[in-house]
Amino acid sequence: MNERNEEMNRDLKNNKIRILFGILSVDVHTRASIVITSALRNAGMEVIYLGFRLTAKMIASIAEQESPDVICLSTHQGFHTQLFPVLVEELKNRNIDIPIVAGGNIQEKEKIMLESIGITGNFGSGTPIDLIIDHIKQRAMEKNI
Amino acid sequence: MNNEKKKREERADTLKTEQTLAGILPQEVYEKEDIASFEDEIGRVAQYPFTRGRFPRGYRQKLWLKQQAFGFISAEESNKYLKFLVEKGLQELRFSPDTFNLAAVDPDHPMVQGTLGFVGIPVYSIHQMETVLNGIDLHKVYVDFNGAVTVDDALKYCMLLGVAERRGMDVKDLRGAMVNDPLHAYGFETNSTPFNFEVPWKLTLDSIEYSAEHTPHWHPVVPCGYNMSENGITCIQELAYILSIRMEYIDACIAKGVQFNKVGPGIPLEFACEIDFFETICKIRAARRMWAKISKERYHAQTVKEMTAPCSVQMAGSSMIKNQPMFNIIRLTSEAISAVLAGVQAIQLVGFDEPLAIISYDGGLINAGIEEIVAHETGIPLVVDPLGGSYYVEWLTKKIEDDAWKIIHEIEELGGFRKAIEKGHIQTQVQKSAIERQERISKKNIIKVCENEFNELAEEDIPIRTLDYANQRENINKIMNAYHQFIDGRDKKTVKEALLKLRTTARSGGNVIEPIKNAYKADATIGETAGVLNEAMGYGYDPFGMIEKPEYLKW
Repeated sequence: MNERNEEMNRDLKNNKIRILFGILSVDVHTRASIVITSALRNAGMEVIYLGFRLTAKMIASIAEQESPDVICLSTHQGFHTQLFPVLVEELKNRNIDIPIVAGGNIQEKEKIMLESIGITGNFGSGTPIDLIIDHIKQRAMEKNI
Repeated sequence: MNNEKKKREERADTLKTEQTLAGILPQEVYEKEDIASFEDEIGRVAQYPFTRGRFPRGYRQKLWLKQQAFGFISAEESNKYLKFLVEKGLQELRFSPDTFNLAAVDPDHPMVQGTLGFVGIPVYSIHQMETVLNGIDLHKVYVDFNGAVTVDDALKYCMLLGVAERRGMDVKDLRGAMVNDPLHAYGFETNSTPFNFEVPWKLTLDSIEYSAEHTPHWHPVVPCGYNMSENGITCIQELAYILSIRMEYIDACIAKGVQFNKVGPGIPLEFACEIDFFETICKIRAARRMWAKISKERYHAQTVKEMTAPCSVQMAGSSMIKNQPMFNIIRLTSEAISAVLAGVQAIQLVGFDEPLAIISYDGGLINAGIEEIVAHETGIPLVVDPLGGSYYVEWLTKKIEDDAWKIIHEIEELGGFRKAIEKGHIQTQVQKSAIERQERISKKNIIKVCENEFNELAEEDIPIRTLDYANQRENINKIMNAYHQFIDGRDKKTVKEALLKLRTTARSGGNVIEPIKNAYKADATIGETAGVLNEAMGYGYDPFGMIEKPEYLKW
């Protein structure tokens, strides 16, 4: 684990990981986003924070323009089961292949569905932030290999 | 196993943290001399400055109101749950808003696609409001709207007025409250709709003005410490912000010509009830004293009613922990006891299953049980302010008060809460606090059992029954079909005429509550009333700028 982290950190120095971070629809629960985007920046990543009031189309368009390494989604209000698959589809339609990492109020049984469409992490409240950072780094590395 | 036992023994020896949740470092012991310099300020029960409470007989005179949030899936399902809660003795029912309600648009708006019924009651017209309240005697319950982050509360208030009128009820008998507080929503950047601030601000001031005249038992604005606290600020910031916001509304209403004695007493103080036992108690005791001083010195209050404000609490959702959620029942009980010791007028428990989903039937039942056990078995409510005079409680009350005054003075120097938002001050403070709180959790400076410590206790989760959303796609289709049928089946001419009256009133600067109520009675929707108001105030029909105004509303 440590070796892999060192390797990731070496790569980071040369090439900053770019994150697109957003919350779909009008889910106004932003506390986790504030905390996590701050931690990602402290970990050397570049974060484009979109806030909330977003549709899947909006996120896909911005992803198309910005080419981030990872898209991070935060969710609190439960409708991720409906909205995340729409985003995955929207990206697919535009031939955009960017890993998606999610976190928030996600139930155990929903994780299986989300992972089946390529959305990973699916961290619940109380997850240590280092774990989230490591996972995002890993997904970014996989994309860039 | 032996290692585990040894670990547990070691753990029992010392505290893991010596700070309060707000980061205060108390001494190990407090003595008489620690409170000697301000002992006179404490006062007596039911006397200025009301540190110890307003009512001489406390809970023997009147118990706290038992509040409960409710609402999910559909208006019909929410009505079932509402009846369940009323049957279990809960008296103040807080409508959870659905996403499109939070956004103040209709359910077919592109911003809210796929979200129907997940977080609250889908109410797009007066008919859903009637369905939710079907079979409920509005004379017997308190209705409460806590959309909080947009214009939703004020719009639902207008709808409720319409429902009451249709039932032939005198609206003067309506009892309840609504958060309806754009200041905290904009300050905390949680305004769900990108309205220009002037739009929700107008609706809030208009509803305060209207309520003062027509619904005397209704609290038209409730500065909501709960929402603020859940963004990661300390109890000291929460207290300072609530009082600053309260002053901002009162000043604005006085400027509008409403007398202080009409508006001041009608604005309660709603706090978060966090897990730190003594902080909650002392924060609320400090709030009573601070408000008494403000009302007397700033507004020249004369009567007890003017110098006091009802205080309520909502248990902090963020204090509920996902791992081993049954432990949250213990947290809720501890929080409820602290609220009762503080002497609040209303308590809302969140669901023990809060970190997993919307509160379940089990959650509602457990909350009703906690409230009745604390009220009737423990003996805690027998005596007014039973911790008054405790050296530590009095010291901590004073400490929280002094620190909150500093923040209030800072905000005053910036020109008040609204100006502090315009200058970005509040937003910066909130972000800073949220990050600091998380750092303290990561460093185990704040302990969360089964989250950052004692994780071995979460090895085997006790199964719980959360609500089932498996059929939500089907529900969404059902709600959307009903919505389209309703839109197509209305008399659009009547709708247009009612909305035109709203437009004319808004353009002339008049109070819009009555015309919005009439628009709902004429079958206008949430999205239409918000859109027409927004347009009349010069900002375009769709606050999101995503849809065109419907043809039938072209003037």
